Amino acid sequence: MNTTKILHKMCQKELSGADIKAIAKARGFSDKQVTPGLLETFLLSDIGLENVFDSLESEETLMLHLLKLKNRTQDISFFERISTKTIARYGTFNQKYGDLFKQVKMTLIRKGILFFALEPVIAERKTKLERMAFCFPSRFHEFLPSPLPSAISLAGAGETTETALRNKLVEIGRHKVCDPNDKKTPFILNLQQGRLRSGTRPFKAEHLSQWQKFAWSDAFLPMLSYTPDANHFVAPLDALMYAFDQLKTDQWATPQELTPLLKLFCRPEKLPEAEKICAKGWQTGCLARQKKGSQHYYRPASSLIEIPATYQPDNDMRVLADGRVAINLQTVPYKYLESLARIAKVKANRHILTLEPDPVRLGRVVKEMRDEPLKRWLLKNSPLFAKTIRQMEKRWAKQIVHRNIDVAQVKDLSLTVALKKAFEKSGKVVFMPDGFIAFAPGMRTAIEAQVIKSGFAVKTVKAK
Amino acid sequence: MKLAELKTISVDDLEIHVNTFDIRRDLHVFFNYIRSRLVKRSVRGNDLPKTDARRLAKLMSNPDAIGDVENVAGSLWLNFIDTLALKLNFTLYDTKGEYRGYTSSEPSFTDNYIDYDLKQYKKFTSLSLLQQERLLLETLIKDYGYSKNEFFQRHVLSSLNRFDSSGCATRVLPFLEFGKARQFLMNILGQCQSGVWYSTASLIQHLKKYHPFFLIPKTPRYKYPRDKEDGRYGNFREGKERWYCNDKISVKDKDAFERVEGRYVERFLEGIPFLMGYADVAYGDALNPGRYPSLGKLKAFKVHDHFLRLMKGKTIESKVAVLPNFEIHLEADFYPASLLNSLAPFTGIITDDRVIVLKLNKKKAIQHLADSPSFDLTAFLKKLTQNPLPSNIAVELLEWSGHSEMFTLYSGFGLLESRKKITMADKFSVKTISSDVSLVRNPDKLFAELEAALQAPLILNHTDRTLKNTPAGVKSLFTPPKKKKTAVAPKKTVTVKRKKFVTLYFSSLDVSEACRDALIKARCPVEADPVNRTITYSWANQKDVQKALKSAGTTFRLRIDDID
Repeated sequence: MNTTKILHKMCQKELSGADIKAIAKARGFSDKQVTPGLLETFLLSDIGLENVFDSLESEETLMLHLLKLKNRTQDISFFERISTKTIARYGTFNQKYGDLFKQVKMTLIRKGILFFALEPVIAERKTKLERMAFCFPSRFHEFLPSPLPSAISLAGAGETTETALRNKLVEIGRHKVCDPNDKKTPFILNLQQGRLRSGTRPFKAEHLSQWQKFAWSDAFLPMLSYTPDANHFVAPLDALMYAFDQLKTDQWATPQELTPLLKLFCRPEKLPEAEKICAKGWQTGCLARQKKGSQHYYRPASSLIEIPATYQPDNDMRVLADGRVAINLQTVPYKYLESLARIAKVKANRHILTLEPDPVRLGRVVKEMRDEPLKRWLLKNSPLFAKTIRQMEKRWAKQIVHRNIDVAQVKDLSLTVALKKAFEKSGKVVFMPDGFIAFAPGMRTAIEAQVIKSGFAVKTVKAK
Repeated sequence: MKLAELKTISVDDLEIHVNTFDIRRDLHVFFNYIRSRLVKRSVRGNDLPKTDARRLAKLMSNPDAIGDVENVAGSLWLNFIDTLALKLNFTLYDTKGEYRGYTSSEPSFTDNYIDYDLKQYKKFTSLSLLQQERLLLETLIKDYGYSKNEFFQRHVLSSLNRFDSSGCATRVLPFLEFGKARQFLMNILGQCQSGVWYSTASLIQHLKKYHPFFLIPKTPRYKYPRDKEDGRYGNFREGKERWYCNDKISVKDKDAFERVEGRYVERFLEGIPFLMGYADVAYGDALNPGRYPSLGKLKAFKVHDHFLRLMKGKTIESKVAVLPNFEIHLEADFYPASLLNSLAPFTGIITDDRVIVLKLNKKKAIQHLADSPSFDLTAFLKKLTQNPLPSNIAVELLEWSGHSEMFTLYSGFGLLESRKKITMADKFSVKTISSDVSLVRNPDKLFAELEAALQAPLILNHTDRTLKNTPAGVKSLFTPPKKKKTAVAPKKTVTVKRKKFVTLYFSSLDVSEACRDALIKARCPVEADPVNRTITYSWANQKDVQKALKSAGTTFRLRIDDID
């Protein structure tokens, strides 16, 4: 059921007069009599939301954040983690969760921020409580207070480390991809006939970002990498990234602040220390940190793979005597590496890569390069690259090959007229000289039908 | 042979049976069905599956097949056609099966799909009609066994009852050559006149007189030595009850021949000759009412012309006439399957009888000519017909032929647009469309070779649904034309209507009723709700209502307080 349906059902069927009154009061609606219809109209507005959220306990706020993250309706058992009473291990569903429902009703539903309604019976017989669906409307999400209320604002970008990334690059040329089933394989940088690859994929700087997250989670096997419970729990890394996403641009948080969120979001018995997780995140370059007093503060690091605006290629690239370009893996921007790997044959020697132009691959992307700084540098400094780039630019798209296209020859003028009348405006048929027409294969049936309707037959010549 | 001794007989009081079902036609229909579908026989019983049986029954010339299919035994006619196709090696499937378990009482046929032998079928249809008919007849004549013959088993269209078959594997039966006897009788029938009803009894007498041992030799071979005691007719018994016939027939009995060979002749006549449409038969009352099997019930038979032509080897192959109304009339002694197959691609069947009427179909013909450019339909029809082709037909066919070549679709090819002539692309070129566009084969390979030759080609991978546009700055036939800027349409004014209503709430029912009455009297359009004690009216009527309410009460004066 969607939010609108749940809201409607809740207002018309589930709420009692007392509930409606309580909600109206909590949200600050008119103190005059509020009918179910009026409540339904006003409940999705932002009236009174700020006050209501301010009145919540921290656990309740975190609970709503978890609902926001999950972004789907849940049943009452989902709220077990904020239950003030211990949930019995045995008994019927109603016996276990009856009191929890009362608690949720008092603390969240009657504040007009959580909706609920009875879902239709689908499969096995279920009690009413089992069928009760709870939803936190997406319209309320933006008003939720931060899950890290104690996060502080600190100036500066903090400290990040590229060591792990740079060390990663140095492995180029040392490995051959072997085991396709090894989960590390997609991130192994290797050379295949002069082509730089991540695993079996053409290299992209984005793969390094993916590797960072992988390395971060891999460090805490099996704790961080288990498959989370689809209904209830979240993987610690996902919970952390969610929390960090809620920070404003200049906000930083301590690992201790993250702990309550991690405890609520994740499976508690498999939770590593927040301090250790954050430290590892910093080591892999995923997190930035700042020290204030004796405390480390963390937030997501800016992307290390982007090229700084003031970057000059001269710093890390030089032209060799034979015209090839050498780049220093310790310092070259990752995006440059990606751009160069796309157009050049690569050889590796420790932390130096030498590149010579690959005309075939250059020909494929030469128009996409446009007026990039890298292209300007290559044109200016490397005669070998400059010659190849100019040559490919001159030749590009002088030959156009069309594939997955049907072509027909029409020898009867009346038939041509009929086809033009039927298809010219559609833009899906191109009329060429000498009675030839070209069209997408999907148009074949319609065109054949028109031909037959006009009293002609379709003679088919198939390619061998 | 003095066939002149055969007597004719009046059939006025007899029940005449004429076979209108065409075994040959149904055989070809059956084969074409099996050829077009995958049919798996039932695991138990090895029968045609019910669904296919129902479909086939609808296609058969025997209309009873449709209803019979629903019986436990299925349609006898369909089963017969099925078996005949197998015997002719048109179809192939397992007939032995396997016994699955120790206690299995019958074999199972797992995954027993009906295969077909197209080569064998084409070999058959390439024979002349005479040869086809002879082959078919020979297959039926030679299909017999000691229990599977006219004495004990009914044919698919037979109606006479049979001898009790118990003991048929003993005495003389295993050694009787029914095939020879059948052929002999066919030859006898071949000497009759067509259209004449002959008396079956006279035929039997003729055989008794001149060919008494045409079926059972004078000194036959016996299975076991002791069988000799029962004599030549030891296998045959009569009786009063269907399943308990114990009355032996002795050679010494005067009418023994009539009671054994005579019965055979009756059952033979309603068998192969009747089934194949060579003869009609007529039934009357049995000579031995209350006795089994019946005797002398099949009183008369009559042979047809096409049978006599067959026996003389002068079968009419086919007569074809093309009429000016585009009809093609086919006349042949037997179903001309091969000819019909060759005409099927450009005709439709109008009537399917002794004379088959087809009609030339323009659409089908044009498409067939497009699919087979080298086929000359006019020459084909000219060769078939005995008479010259009507002139209007010849003219139309010429036009149709032209229509078949007006649209040629090239499928699986690609296009090459080339601003500059590239020699290496020539080997891929199929047709030159213009100076810079050509139809090419294997566009993927062409693209790879152009790339390898450092030509920096562009490949446009069109989708099945639409043609992809070329990137900006690229000149191509496929570059979409610039769209003219269309003026932004002004916002449309949408009118919504609003009507105001006023509701008066009364605390007392008497007062509300008095006011209501006053308003009704003044003809004011109001809605009164006695349960809630309200009166509702449109704001447009406010003045009239107020005027009317002034005179509403004699004991009260109204004051209206607004709620909000």
